[in-house]
Amino acid sequence: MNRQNLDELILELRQSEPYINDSGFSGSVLAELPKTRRLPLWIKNLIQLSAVIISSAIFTWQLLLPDLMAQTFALLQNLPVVAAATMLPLLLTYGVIIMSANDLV
Amino acid sequence: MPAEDGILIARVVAENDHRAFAQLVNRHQSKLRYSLRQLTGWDEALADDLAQETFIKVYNALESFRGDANFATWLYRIAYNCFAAHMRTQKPMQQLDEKMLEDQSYDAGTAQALHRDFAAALQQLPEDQRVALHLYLQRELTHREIADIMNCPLGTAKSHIQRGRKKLRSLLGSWQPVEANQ
Repeated sequence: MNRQNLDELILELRQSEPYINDSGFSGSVLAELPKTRRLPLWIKNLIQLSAVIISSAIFTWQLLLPDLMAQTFALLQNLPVVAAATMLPLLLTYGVIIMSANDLV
Repeated sequence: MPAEDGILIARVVAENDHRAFAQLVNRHQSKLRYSLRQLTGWDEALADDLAQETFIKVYNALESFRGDANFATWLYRIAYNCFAAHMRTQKPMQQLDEKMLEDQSYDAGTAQALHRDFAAALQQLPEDQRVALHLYLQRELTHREIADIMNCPLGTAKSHIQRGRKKLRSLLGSWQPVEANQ
């Protein structure tokens, strides 16, 4: 076979290529698709975004945690002073009120 | 990539639209099944199994498809991988499945016979040459596209085509144009 004959044959093959009827082929492909429903893209994006937000929040929390702990500890250490500072004016006010009520002042 | 393919792919990816995927399958099934028939020596059942496997892989990987490439080329790459994987599991190349050809009745000299004779001739070639030659001669893909599909260097794809062509010419030595036979 010479080159021209092969080219003729190929041309003929291309021109006479039959259309293969679907005949249920697409249906059989669809039937074989994975049963679990694939999540739509926007839901996947939402999940990814939520994961990023949550992990950022955890990271930030972890970062601030030592400071927060230190502040809380300091507050607890100074609690008696703070309590005294808060309670003293209250007690004094209460004492004055009681004394006024009993005509002691 | 035809605009319609792009729209259908977007619907499948964004909305998991099975009807859109069915349309996509319908648009490409004939050419893909024909190609696989050519590559499998016109074994219709095997070709359809490989085509089905290809489309299922396409569905699963559709999100990774980038719109800048041609969908058909991407489809053929997946089909080629399925075909190559199948060939690896097979025993050494059968020379020609005579029983298979006997089972198929067709008139010699017709276009139908031509397609099957051509498939039988391709069957005599090594797998890589067969694929490269089919994609080049019948699908009219470029050397670059064929190299991409077969995941090989450009020079290798060219070499497959050149060698395959030479062998094919000798295998089809007795072929005459259909008009001359009728």
